[in-house]
Amino acid sequence: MAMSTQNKKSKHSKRKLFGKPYKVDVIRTTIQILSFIVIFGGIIGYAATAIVLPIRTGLSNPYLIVADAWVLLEVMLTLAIVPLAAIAAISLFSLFTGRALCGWVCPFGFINDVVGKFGKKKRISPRNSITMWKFALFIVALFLIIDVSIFYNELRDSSIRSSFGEFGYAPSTFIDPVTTLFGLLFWYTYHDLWPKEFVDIFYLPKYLYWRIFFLVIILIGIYYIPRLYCRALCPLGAIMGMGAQYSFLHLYIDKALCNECKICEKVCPMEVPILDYINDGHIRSPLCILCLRCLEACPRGAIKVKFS
Amino acid sequence: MGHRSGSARVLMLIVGIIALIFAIKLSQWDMIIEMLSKFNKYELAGYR
Repeated sequence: MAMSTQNKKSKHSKRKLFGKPYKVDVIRTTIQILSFIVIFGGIIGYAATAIVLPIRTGLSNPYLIVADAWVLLEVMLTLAIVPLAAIAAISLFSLFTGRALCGWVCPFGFINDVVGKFGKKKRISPRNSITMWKFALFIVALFLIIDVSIFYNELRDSSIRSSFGEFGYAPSTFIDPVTTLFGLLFWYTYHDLWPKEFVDIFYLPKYLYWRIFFLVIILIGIYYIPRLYCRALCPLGAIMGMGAQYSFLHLYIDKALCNECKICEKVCPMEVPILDYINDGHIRSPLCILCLRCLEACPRGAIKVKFS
Repeated sequence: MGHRSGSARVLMLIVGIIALIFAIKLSQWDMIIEMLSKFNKYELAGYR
């Protein structure tokens, strides 16, 4: 037992030194690539489906075959329709799978992982990671208040949607890099709307500058802090995190096997304070995306996946 | 499992199932397919 622990510990340090990937990371990346291809299935000839998933893709990309639950929720509310499909997707997926889709399926989560892979991987404390999630919740609350206000006023025939200008149908896109990347930039390229002359750069729509600027800021942030967007800004991640605390699918840490070496916390891309859950055993953190890296890294095999 | 998490799970399940049933009944899926199939500017602030 002691020998095996020693081996696993040295394997962990080698991975840290040479950047050798965990097996589970290889499997996860493969599934993320396949999901990316299926989600943007229009490229390979699939037609749009009625599937709504709690993942970040936006709605406007013509190759999309599944809908992003958050943008759908916002657009339906601002169109004065109760977003039942989005509510059903968010509540059922968070109840049964927690934030597993964030880690294994979400296309923007995949981009976070890819950028983070080449990045500086700066660690912030697990406490700050939780604070970031609370900040994301604050953002969700803020935009939901705006969306519900628009919804209420639309129903009463006293529309306030025009007050939000071009952001009237999806106010959160003001600070949303996902719709900028998969929607706005895609359409600019698709319709060949980029300026041909240098001077034309100054005559683009004003919000385009802001949205590209914000996208670049987020990508730089992800370069330094892994999965920064998923932790601090993703509205869907924040809502799913609330449900993930009661999820059936979660990780379990066995107190009898754990020697509190903290390797699990060190390898966690979301910096979940895993050892805070050691007394209860059930790791139902709002941040956990079930990437399973901790499960593979644990030298004593103290972490398991549970569905209960 | 505590009462709190039990209640939260039951609540999420009820909300999810009721929303799913009504979404099917109100044919919201057709609207979703239409949104994904047609060009719309809902989230394209900054587009020409």
